[in-house]
Amino acid sequence: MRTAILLLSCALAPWGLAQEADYGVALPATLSAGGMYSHAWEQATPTAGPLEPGFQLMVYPSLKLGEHWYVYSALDVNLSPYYPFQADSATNRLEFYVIQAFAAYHRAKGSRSLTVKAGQLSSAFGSFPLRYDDTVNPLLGAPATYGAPSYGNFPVTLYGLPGVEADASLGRLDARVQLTNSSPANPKNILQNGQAANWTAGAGYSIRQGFRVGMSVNHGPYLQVGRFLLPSENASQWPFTAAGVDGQWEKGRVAINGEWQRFYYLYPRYIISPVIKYGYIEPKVVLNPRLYVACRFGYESFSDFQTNSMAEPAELTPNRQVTEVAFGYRINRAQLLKVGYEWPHHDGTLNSHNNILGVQLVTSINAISAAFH
Amino acid sequence: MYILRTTVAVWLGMNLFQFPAFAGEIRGVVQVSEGLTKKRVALPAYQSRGMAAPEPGTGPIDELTRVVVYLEGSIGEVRPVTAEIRQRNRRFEPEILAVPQGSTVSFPNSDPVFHNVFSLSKVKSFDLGYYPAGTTRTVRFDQPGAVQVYCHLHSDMSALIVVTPNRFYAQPSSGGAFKFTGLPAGWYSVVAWHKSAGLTRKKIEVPEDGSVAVVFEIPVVTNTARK
Repeated sequence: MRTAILLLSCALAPWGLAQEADYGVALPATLSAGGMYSHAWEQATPTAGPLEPGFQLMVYPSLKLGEHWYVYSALDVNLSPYYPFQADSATNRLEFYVIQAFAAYHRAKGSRSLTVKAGQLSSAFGSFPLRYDDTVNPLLGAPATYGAPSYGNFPVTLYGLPGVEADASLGRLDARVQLTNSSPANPKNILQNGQAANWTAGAGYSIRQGFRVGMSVNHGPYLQVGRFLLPSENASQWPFTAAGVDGQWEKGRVAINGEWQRFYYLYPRYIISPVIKYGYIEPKVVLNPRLYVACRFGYESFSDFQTNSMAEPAELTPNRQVTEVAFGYRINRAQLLKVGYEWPHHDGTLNSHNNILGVQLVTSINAISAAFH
Repeated sequence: MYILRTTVAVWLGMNLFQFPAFAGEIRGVVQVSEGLTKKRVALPAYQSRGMAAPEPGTGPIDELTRVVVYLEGSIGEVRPVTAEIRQRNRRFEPEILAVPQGSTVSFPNSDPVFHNVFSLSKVKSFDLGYYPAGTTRTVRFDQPGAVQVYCHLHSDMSALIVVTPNRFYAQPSSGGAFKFTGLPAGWYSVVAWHKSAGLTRKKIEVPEDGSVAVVFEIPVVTNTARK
């Protein structure tokens, strides 16, 4: 009789459904809102007060198209200045960027994987372009060499580049190669003039789980006519070369990220072209389930430069140190409150004019996800 | 629905009239009548570098593995146990677990990538940090209640631990059956908790000598819905 009951009960048991959908759409998002208190923008925008509110909404529409194919995007709507790297001006701008929007083919078996992407991609140079989301970045700002989408301010854009990329991993080794339409130091969209192929390659080795070291290089034209380049000159003669190493170490409640980078800019009519070196180390410690503290100590050094009209080399700009600290408080699973302070200062100065106090309330939104069948 | 009702009636009949009766016993069955677990839309781990991340589990869902049944309230002596929630293929296994208060739950990592298991629940908050494959961390649960468990690094990983104030808890068998024995006579609140559908509570009276049967239909079917 017990067997009969068991069979009867089994007949009523629910049917099996696959846990993972082969086809579906997901729309996770991160809303970050808050403000900065600083005098950093006083010179550029004298009418603005020291308090600037802002926000960033990151939406990640994604489409899964079977076992191997997917489409991924990262769309950014923001009211700037919101991040310390935007604090050079307080002119409020509502901006929209397609940071990533690519189709991808992915295969994995055991410890081997291969992903090929085509579309708008994050730069494959360095490690921070994987951590731009405010839920992932424990601090308020970005390392000093990462930033804005325009030419001339930062060596590495965080706003994506059109191109193709292949990522592979084999056991402890991972590698990537990326071909883009423009330089991470001068990103251009697919419709702009002056596009020129740029190569980026990187590799890493996981010494053990939680300890990885990597390196990356980027090379390609970046100058554009009107700024340093005459209409008759070819940008490919004066390329931009970047090389960097990065490391990630995690154990228990401590995580440390670090990078060291060297950027070499070639300019026409320069006898000595400038070199920028930058390194940072970023420890994060979880103090209790709700609270963490993170710091970033960065140092940027600038070489001398000399144009053919200068009698002798001159200093490009004084070396710069940027120290950031932030506390993060998890209000609940979906919300994180970050309070941070940034001290940027050049060698030989202790000017607090550009210091920035910032607050961000970061909300993760994972509500929308639908399997097609 | 006719088949369902008939089956339940047959089952009740067999349990109430054909089994020998034991003092203070609850026999029950959990029936999950439809697929309740939402399929996940998980993309490959595009935002990480390093060793290849495991693909999320693709095996079929057995809805009954996502159910626990327990009695509410303090009843007799509590016997703490040691249980396990494993992190494997970017999932918690099992995704729902019942343990009596005072129990210890181990969270071994079986993936070649890090997880960061945490809970902000009032009953027990913890953050286990990063630890590699093949190692584990343990948490002791001293207060009864529900503890939601998540991973900081994989937002679609979640588990639920129901900490009971007594030793009467069970995960239904593959057929949905469960049994609580050795109960003093009286009224009891029986709870069936499905990870996605939530909890269903039934008040039943256990006689001084004998067995009482209870059936949980998940999701709950109301009389109106039956018509």
